[in-house]
Amino acid sequence: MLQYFLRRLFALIPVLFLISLFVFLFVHALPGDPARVLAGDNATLEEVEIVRRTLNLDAPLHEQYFDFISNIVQGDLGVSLRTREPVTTMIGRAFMPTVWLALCALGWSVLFGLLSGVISAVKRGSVGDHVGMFAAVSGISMPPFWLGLLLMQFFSVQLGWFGTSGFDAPADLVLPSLTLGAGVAAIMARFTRSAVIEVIREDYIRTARAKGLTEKLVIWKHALRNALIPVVTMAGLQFGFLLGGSIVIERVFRWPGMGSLLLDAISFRDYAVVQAEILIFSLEFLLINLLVDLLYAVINPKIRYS
Amino acid sequence: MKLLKTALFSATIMAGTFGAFQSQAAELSIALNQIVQGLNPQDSNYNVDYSVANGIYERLIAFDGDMKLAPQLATGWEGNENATVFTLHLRKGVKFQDGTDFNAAAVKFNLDRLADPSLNLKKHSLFKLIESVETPDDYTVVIKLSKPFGAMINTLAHPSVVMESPAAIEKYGKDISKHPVGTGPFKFQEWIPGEKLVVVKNDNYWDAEWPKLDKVTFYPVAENGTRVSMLMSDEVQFVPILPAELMKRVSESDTYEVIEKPGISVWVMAMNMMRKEFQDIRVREAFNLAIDQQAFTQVVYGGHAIVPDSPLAPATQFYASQSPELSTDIAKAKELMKEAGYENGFEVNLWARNNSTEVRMLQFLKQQLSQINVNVQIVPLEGATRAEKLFGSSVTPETAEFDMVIGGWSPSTGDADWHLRPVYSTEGWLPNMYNEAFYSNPTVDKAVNDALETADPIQRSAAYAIAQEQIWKDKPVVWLAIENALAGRKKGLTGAFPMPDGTMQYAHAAFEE
Repeated sequence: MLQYFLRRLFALIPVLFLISLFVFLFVHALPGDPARVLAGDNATLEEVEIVRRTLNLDAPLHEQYFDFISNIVQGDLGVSLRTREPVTTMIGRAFMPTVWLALCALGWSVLFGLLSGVISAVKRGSVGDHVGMFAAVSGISMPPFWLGLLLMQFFSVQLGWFGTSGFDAPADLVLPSLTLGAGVAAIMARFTRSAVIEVIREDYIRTARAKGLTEKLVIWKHALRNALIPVVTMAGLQFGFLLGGSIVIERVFRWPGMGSLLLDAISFRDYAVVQAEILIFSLEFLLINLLVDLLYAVINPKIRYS
Repeated sequence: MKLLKTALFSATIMAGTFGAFQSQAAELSIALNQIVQGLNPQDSNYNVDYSVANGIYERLIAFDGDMKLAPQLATGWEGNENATVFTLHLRKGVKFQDGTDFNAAAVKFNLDRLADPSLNLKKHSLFKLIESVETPDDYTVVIKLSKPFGAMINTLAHPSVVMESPAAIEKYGKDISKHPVGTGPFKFQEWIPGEKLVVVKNDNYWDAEWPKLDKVTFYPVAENGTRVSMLMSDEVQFVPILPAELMKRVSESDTYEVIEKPGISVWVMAMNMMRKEFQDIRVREAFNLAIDQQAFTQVVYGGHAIVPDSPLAPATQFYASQSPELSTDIAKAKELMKEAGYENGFEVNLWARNNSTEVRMLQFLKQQLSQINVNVQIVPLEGATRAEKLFGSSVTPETAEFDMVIGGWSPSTGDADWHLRPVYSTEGWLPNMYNEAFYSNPTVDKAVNDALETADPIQRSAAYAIAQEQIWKDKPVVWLAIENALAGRKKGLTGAFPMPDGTMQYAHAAFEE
């Protein structure tokens, strides 16, 4: 297992190198001239050229890539074109707020999704099933910015229970994580429902029931455990997306996370920040995939890695 | 669960109460619509930077709330007849926030810096005509220019032309944008980029009457709805940029009010005169007649805008109203199109940004022009993409891809020069400046240049009147609207208001007792 883990970890290096090249070319291929954007709205051509010279944006592309990759090898993600602040500092500041938001959103959505998915599967066609699936469809269908503004209007402006936006206290996590998790909870509920329905038709479930095990034990121990593998895969994927920072939700709630940072960086064509963020997102996905693969073995001991 | 709910509820009530106490302790919070880029206005083109800097730094000459020139660090000024020498008399007893004296040497230091091309300051272009800055005594500065520039006094009032502490610049170098030191009523305290920026009372401010507040905190909040929610829940007390569609929420409240001021930003639809059809004045006139500007101000700005009656806004210096006024006459527009040989219309593209306000403009204009059989292909563009395709250094009159483009121009010097020269003179053709119509008329060019040859306001006014009249006659653009500056404010707060140029003032903010 350890050997497998280390092998997978080392295999990430060439993948990350390729991603860095791809990301660099992709970012530079985006339409939009950073010098023009950074110079500001009413800048004259002369002012734009001053910005281009100052930020070394007139250097040949291969030189810029070489600078980028040699900095990364030394653990330096470069300097923001917009604020001249080290990108490492900017990402360091934005990373934890996004992690907290992602964890909270994933926490409640997985819990809700699993519970309502199992109940819907077991009580198929019942009122509970319909209510659960209606909630799930609503969760997927509601545009997050609309749900966020609605929650803000009700809980912050009308009731005054929570701050409207920003991240100054743990309570500030409630509304954004509710908004962010709504879609994930819905996906998890629907996924769990299908997986459990599939599993409870299996022979071994019939056998378990024939043995006289209680329904609770049959469902929660035997059925759910086997149904969990696709569910965990989905949860891992969703966590990857959540860690990427939800741009819309972070914008609505003025959340100082990776999504807000990426949005600002893209609109200003702040190449250094965009490249660093995409690299980090890629690394997060690769690591989460590895973690999910390892989790399979924990859920189902029959799975062995060598 | 019940315990958790109670604890959460109590915690938020406590947080709310604490917040309320905070605002009572003469603290003001402001929600900005953009993130602050830097705190060195001399090296910035962003209104949001100028807005925050307005409390930290001061200018030699400033604008009052109606864009009229007002003394700030200079108490008086005069220019010679041919606009090559300008003398400023400085305020005495002023110190920078780091204790450095404000005097003629400090002004010379700042102006020399702005005039030095090697420093690559973004606002260098405003001062490249400076030949020398002399200091005959501690409180007099004489600026000599290499050629006449009648708009010099207004250029000194540009929001970027702030006086920065020479000692702080020596100490921080380029990092001055993170450690601003000026003479203003508020001192910089903390800036977490993208999150918040805090300034606090400058106890040694030269005017003992001010400031009335202990602390001002700025939050960048890009989402319009969130800014309004923050205002309505008293998390902020001032929202300097309020979109017209959300105004009703604020105006219907008993606790908050809408502040509305005439703006100087004139919105137009420029017609690319490199295209054959737009070289014909009858077509340009027909386009102007086909658009109902009154309806435009209602649809796009909910009525919080006025219809232009000159290429300049009324609050811009040397504005002169023109006749005939803009009017809508579809029958006449069709007749003109027929005369020009375009009875069946033609196809054009129309570019704009992809934000909701400009998309509304696009839809409205497409519908209006369809009445004269013009088929408009609307092209909403993301900001950076639009900037490159429209203003990129490779854009030439021959390669420009747009037929028509929507844009607003606000002259941040408050003077006719910085509107007519970049937008309507031949010198201003893209990509050099912002003449998007590629309009060229020797009468306009001459008048704009003549107005710079003198510092005499009467002569300048006469020259700009000629330019405005000619542009109004030639119609290189369809004039659309002059939007009002709208802000949301807590009742009882005074002295914080939006400026007509898109910036804001808070230096004299106070809560009524």
